[in-house]
Amino acid sequence: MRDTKRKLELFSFYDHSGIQQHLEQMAEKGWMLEQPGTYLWRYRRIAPQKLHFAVTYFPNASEFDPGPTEGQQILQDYCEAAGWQYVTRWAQMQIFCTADEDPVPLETDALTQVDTIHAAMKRASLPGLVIMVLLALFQLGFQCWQFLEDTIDFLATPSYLYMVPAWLLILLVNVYELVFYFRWHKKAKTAAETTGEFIPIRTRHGFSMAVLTLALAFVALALLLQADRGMMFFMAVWFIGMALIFLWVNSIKKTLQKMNASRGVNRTVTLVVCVALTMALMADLTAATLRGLRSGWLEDDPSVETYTYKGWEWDVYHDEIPLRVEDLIDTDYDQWSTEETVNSSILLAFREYSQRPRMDALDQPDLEYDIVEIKLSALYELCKKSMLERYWYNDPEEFRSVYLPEDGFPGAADEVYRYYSRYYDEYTPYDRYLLCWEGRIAEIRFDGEPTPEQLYTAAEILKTA
Amino acid sequence: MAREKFQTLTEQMFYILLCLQSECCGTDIMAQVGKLTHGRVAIGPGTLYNLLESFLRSGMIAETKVEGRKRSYLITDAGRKALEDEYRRLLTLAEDYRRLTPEGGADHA
Repeated sequence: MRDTKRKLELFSFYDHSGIQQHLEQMAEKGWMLEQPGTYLWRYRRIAPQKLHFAVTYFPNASEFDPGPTEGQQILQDYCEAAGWQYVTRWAQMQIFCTADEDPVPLETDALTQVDTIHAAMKRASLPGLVIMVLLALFQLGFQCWQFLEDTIDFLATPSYLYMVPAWLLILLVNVYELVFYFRWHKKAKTAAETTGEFIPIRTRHGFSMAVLTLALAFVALALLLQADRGMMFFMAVWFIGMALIFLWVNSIKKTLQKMNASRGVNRTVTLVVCVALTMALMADLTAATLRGLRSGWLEDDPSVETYTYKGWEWDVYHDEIPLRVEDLIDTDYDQWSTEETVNSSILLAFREYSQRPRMDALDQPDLEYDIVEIKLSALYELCKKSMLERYWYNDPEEFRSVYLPEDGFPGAADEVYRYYSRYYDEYTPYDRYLLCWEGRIAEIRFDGEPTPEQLYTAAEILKTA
Repeated sequence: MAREKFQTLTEQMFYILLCLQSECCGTDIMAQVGKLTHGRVAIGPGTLYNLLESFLRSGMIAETKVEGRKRSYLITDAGRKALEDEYRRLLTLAEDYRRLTPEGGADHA
């Protein structure tokens, strides 16, 4: 039979009444708290008994302290004199228990209690919550920028798309905790000042943890559904690495505490190690990803062969592609390199295709086309706009390349556009067309002006590809 | 409306300052208050520690002796003034009660 156990506890730092009640239930079941923590709390087996617990806060304490401060020891003495036994401490939180049936409460002045909790929260939880809100806002702002920069790529890439709800949930949970806390503090302060009563805290930390778990599920989804192996490798190693760093840093902090290092030394060493390890992880990971991509083992679709032309090595791919040059012209050339790249999410799929001759046969035409498959019809207009404005970049309007409606191929698609480069009022046509059907948009880049038959053939294939 | 710190004293504050008319340590204060009020007012150890720290910071009490972890305190002039102000405030309340309620002896005939 195990004498210690670790349990996932979902309490807000300031939820002293919830913690007290829970510890009382645990003692009745025969478990005494040994060490609380961010998530896992350690208990040791005791004879089941009825105990009262009290949680109090010591704002000047720190999680980097080697032991209880002098002030904390004085408080422990007062508590012992009042019949309360010291149980454990965790950062600013101190926990006491007593077997007395009707003990004098640890806190008997509501205003002092509210002020003490607030002072501890200002040092313990509130900075972390504010940092997380700022980080989530930055990340969401970055996602918005990515969305505006390349809407199609954003909507088709799971690692971008699923991180939006993940960050939204992280923002929600931290704002919720902050609002919940400040509302309680305002009410509790007013009540303590006017009636002298203490309003107990009733946190819904379980709700916060459920939302955070959902956020993690979205992160996992972003990771698992990411078709790009390089990105998947980078994200997976990053998460595992960060978890390991968290464990190492925590064990360094504990070791320094055991070695009686001062609060300042412990905090500095822990912080330096944390920053150094994070930077080392980032650097190693970037290098490993680049090496992996260069060597090919991280490429989703490594080349099947290579050849050398004028001292350069060229990759050759033999991917299956729906529309080939041979569908449009008669040719005996058979040294093609055909490549397919697919990015797909629940909202849309973005597929890029190319067919190129070898470098020693550049008289042969090449062919490039992209297909956007829109799975949610509400996104059609947005995607069409994005494709039509694909080459605008930041050019001024008088030099901005545009897609203009093309009437020369009736019936080839629901809508046909042709690409023009612009120089003031002078428009120069290119052999690049945008074909739109319900739920599908294709852009095709011919090598030379296509005949109507070639465009109709391409449209027919791309419509169902 | 937010109350200015120590402008009025809670019962616990009042009795702590009252006990510190003579030199006392924290645990003495807890025992004395219980005795003084026949158990009506109890000061929890957490409250006691925090109030003593606050009084020290605002100069209402002074540390007089340190023996290991045991510290003794004594009220200062500022503390005495706060105690006296509170006493006068309570007297005013009592006087108003006496003047305005039959239970206090007011004549409503």
